[in-house]
Amino acid sequence: MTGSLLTCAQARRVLWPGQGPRPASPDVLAAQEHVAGCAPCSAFFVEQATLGAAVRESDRRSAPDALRRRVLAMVRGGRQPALRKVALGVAATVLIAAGAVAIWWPDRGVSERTILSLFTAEHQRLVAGGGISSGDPAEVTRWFAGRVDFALRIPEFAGGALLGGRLCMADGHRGAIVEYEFEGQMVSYFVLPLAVRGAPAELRHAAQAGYRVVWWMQDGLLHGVVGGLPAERLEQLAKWCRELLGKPSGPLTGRPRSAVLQPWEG
Amino acid sequence: MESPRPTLEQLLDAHLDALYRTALRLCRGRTADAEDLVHDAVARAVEGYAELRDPAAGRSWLFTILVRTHLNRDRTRRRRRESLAVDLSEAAFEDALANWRPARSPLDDAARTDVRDRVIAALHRVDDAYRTVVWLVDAEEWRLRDVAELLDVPEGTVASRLYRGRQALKAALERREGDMTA
Repeated sequence: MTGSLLTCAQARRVLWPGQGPRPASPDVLAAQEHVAGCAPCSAFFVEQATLGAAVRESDRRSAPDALRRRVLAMVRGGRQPALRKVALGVAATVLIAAGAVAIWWPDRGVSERTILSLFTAEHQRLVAGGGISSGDPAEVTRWFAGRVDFALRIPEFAGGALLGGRLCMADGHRGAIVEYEFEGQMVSYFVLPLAVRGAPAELRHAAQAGYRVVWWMQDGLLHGVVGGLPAERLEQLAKWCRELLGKPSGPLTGRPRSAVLQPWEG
Repeated sequence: MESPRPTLEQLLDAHLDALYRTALRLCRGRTADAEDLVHDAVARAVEGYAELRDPAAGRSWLFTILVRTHLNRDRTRRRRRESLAVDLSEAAFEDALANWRPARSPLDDAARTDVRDRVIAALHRVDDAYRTVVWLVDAEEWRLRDVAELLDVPEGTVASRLYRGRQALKAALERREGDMTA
């Protein structure tokens, strides 16, 4: 390539970016001389610079205000509002959440189509990571307690294994997804602080992207179960969830009470 | 005169945006997961702030917590298994540098601001180990040796991951270009 003693690979290695300011050592000077006289090496570094600039310019967004408020509140020593709500007990918290939903979304709601797309897209991401992996409903409940602005009860189902949970974003608000496995089939249980146009109190059924969905509104929150189970089994799960949510419960501080449901023994 | 030690609140105020963007890259753009990752990292920072001896290292300390929190989650998340990066030896790295071929079409437009979404989408298709290094070095302007310390790997490994990550990004951009022109 050039008359210098370095090969192209050696020159590229010596001048490889990310090393910070360096003294003009003989190696560096020789590599610079090589590149100056070598068209492929010049092209190599132009391409590297282009890729580096593309990454650098790709995302300059700011952190969401809600996140900023949340973490700064944590730093200032205050526990998060959601944790205090939990201490008030389920009944009070559900009322607060329901009231908040009514205030946040007085005249609007997302469409059914949007909800179904969200359910199935998030269900397909079941193995994408993030969240908490645990079969202990108390641990999963505690994990959600500081992360969502509503009280979440984690049902246990006989014949099904709790796998954990994670967050999802729905219309700009944080919702919960609890994950289960039934006979080798994954099932996602959604609880979202959303209102849906024509909000159904009764169970509503749909199928999308190869999955079945059963969803309903309860206490101002949108609930849904999604999976590949037979329709009647998924509906039974939804019924058990709804029944559980309708029962009074003790406070969720400490070890929360979780109902053990047996959807297959009805 | 020594500058006063910044409070954790001041540190976060200065670096939260960059932490969030990095969390987004680590979580492949999933906003809920990224917010949650930042939340957990800040919780750890609150616990460990008293141990921060060098105020000038505050930024790298925060990033280290963020990245390690992410890595720990990945390790404990049993349902997720990505193929681990096979790192190159120094000799193999030089071979790779020698065998570089220019992009099939010019990448000049990759640096334009109106193609940001394409670059981000391509970046999210790059394996975790490479994407983390590419983002920290190229976007957050970390030096290789600092990334090496953060990830607890040799500096040469970080250099080769940066190269392979950029190659993977280039390939992803070219594939996308091919999809659009097909």
